[in-house]
Amino acid sequence: MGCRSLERYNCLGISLLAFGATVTPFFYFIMSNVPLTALGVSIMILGAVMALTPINPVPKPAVRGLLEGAMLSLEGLLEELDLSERGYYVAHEDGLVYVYVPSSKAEPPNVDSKPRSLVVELKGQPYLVLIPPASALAREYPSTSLEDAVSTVLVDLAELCSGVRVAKGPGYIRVELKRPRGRRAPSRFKRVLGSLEACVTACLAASALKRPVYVSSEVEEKGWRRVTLEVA
Amino acid sequence: MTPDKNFMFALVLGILMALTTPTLAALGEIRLDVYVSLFTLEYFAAKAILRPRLRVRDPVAITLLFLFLLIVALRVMEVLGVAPLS
Repeated sequence: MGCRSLERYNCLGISLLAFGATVTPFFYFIMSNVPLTALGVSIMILGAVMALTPINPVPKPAVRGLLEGAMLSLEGLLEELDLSERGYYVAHEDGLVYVYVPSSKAEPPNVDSKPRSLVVELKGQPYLVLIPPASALAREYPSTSLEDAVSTVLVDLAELCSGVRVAKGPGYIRVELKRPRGRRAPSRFKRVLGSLEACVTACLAASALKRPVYVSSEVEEKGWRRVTLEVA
Repeated sequence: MTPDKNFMFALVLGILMALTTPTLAALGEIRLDVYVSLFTLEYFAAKAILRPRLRVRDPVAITLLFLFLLIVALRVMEVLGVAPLS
């Protein structure tokens, strides 16, 4: 299904809306027929819904492929620099989410401004700063509800899983992903940033909460993946 | 492939409204506000379940809610004998 067919869907919605808006007064004032008037109103509602449906010009497998490609390139970088400590997802004022990977075990970084180089030193501790695969998506899909944002990106946009449940607790967020279908994350990437689904979720959580977040654990169980994010 | 919830929403809403109109017509219903109230109910029920993502802040929901409140207000006024509908 290409871009043009989705645009045609919106055009069909506008056509239905125009048709409904034309026939409804005719049915009501000229024919004085209430059921037909109601039919006109229902056509208008349906047309408006179809016209307002956002087009999704990039196919879902392509979005998933781009995310997986970015994951593989980060894996190469982490492997080359021999980093394996857990990374902290931090949202900055430019709307992007950055991952601070310490060279050795370290406390969550306390940063105010966005990083200016690939390696930053905070309180004597060097951190490698990476832009995770879903960083830009966190900026493009802000939402009042974390569950909505995660569902939009993971289910609707990239089709990385078929359902999402989010539960918040004191200092942690538990995200349950139904039937995750992303490519298996390479070992180093998984250790530092979590699986691809966890990485996307952590990006969105850091962006929504405006606080550092890291992937604490991931458990697979009967078609579900339970991801625990700790809020630093 | 997971069905897109936006398209599912339009499909479910279309089916519900396509069932409501002939059913009420067959029952001899001639009050337009009854039809609009049921469309509003169906719209919000489908929206709550399927949670579609729309381009803008849902003008359809705002319009339907306004119409529904207007219908309720007119009915209350009718009961109070202030401005009867029919």
